[in-house]
Amino acid sequence: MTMNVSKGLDACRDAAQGDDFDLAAATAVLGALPVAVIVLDHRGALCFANASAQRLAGVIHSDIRQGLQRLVDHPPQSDVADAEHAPRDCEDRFDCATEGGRALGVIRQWRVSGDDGKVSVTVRPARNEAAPDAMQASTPTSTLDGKSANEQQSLIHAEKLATVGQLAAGMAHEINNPICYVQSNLGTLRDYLNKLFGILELSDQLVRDREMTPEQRLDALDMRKQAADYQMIAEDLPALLEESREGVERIRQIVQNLRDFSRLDPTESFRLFDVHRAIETTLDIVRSLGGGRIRFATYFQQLPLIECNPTELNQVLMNILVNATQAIDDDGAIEIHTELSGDHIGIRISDNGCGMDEATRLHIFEPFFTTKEVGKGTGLGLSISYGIIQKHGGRITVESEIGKGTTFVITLPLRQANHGTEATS
Amino acid sequence: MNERISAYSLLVLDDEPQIVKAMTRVLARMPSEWLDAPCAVKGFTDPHEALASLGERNYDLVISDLRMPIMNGLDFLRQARELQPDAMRIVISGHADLPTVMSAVNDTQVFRFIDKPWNDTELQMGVAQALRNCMLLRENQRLADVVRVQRSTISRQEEALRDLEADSPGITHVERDETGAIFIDENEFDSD
Repeated sequence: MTMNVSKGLDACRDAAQGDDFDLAAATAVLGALPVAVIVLDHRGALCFANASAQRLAGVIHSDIRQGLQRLVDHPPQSDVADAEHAPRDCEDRFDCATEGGRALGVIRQWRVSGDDGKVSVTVRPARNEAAPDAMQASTPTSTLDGKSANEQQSLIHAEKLATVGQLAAGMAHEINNPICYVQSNLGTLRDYLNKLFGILELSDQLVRDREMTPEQRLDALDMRKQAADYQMIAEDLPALLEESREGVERIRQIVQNLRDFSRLDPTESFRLFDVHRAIETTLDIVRSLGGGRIRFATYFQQLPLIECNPTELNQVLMNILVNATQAIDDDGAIEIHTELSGDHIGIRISDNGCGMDEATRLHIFEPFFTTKEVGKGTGLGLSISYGIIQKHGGRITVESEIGKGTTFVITLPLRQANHGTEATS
Repeated sequence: MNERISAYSLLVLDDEPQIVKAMTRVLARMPSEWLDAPCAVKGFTDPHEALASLGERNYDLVISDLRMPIMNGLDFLRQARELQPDAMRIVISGHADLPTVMSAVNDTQVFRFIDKPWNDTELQMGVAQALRNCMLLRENQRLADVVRVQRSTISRQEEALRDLEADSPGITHVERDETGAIFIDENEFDSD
């Protein structure tokens, strides 16, 4: 135990040499504590648990997350003598969390004392000085906002690439088809050219042959043309070239979409952009994931250009659409409606997939919350989307019913309050 | 084997029209030394239309993609097999996992699995072999029929001979001497 603590102190000292005490050092210190520490945000949702808390949770439930949740909801019975530190109920915790009219986090501690496993519980409010605004905005993305801009950027990019990874299989299929026929058509083209050159060479010889009559020459040439399927080649060649050109164009488009999407461009600022174009580009990529089993329908109203960060908007749409395709087991449908209402636009994305229960719905915007298997999702997609929409001064809400489907509604202002002056098309 | 005069009839199904056309082109320029007759290809992008066509006319070979939006390629080939069990079947697919390949071989008895993107020569060779195989099976069947018919003819003749022998014994095996004169047993004569 002392070893652990001293390790934590080392981390602390290292950090002290830097400008400020960073998150990694704080995590190391908390991790080395013999006391279980669980950090909740002001709404009571889990933010962090140190190693001791995770050990404790592991004793209670095989699934650490559920164990932690149970610790928070029903803390272990504390010692009678320790009655004043008895766990407070949810209401108390919430009061604590909004003390002084400001949003606060909550720290909950247990100390395992002795062999009989009795614990004391302390609830402490903790101010998050780093991001008071984010806390006030009542967003669960506060832990993301707490990170430095660089860290956040790379996290967002990692999430983006993870989405691309999920798309890779569908994408490969989508690129493979045009490659198939372009490659094969090139083989056919070579065959056609050989035949055409054969005819050309023959006509060359015939022209130089002074002993033949014009009729003989024509006959010989006609015979050769017939043997080489000249008529068929002449008819098919333009179609072959056009189809191949179209195939290469399709590949180019897919690669272009992919590059647009995965581009890491922190300097890209807000500009006037066509929301429908963003939706179409994203749909192009997502369609390949659906493998044709999903019907996509778009109902677009006339919309003005809105001031937004196009790359980020694409990412939000991508996250929601990928989730929607994954919620659909058999063939299903995804509908996208857009509408203009006053100085806002609304994007409504509905799927008729499996839907989700209330408990899941409450957590979907939390970082690292995922219902997908390990390795399938980072649990960051929707929390990043939430952050992006928040940054745009918009709102993102979700309705869902098990077995019926899920609907995301995004509202975005036409103009950005802060960036209004620099907006140019 | 008989020289074939008419073209082989092939059915090609893929949800991508350009792939159907590219494949038709490759098969149209099949090297003549590999096959004794040209290939007449009918291409489809809709599995239901392809099945309808299978119910109307004879095909020697059915080529299908696996991943298609309207119908799974394996389902299609299963139905194609019910409609025309004598036609060969070839799968062309860009993503075949082991269970799919096993199902294709065991349930729908495909003759060959060709990867996408295909190699033109490989495709032509696979198709030529499938068609030759198809012709061999048909020839085999035809010859078996001929043998059966001939056998039944022979047994009819044998029966007639037996009747004749019963009626007049010795008539079915006439003996001759070295000059070619017929040998007659006088004892039999007398007893008559």
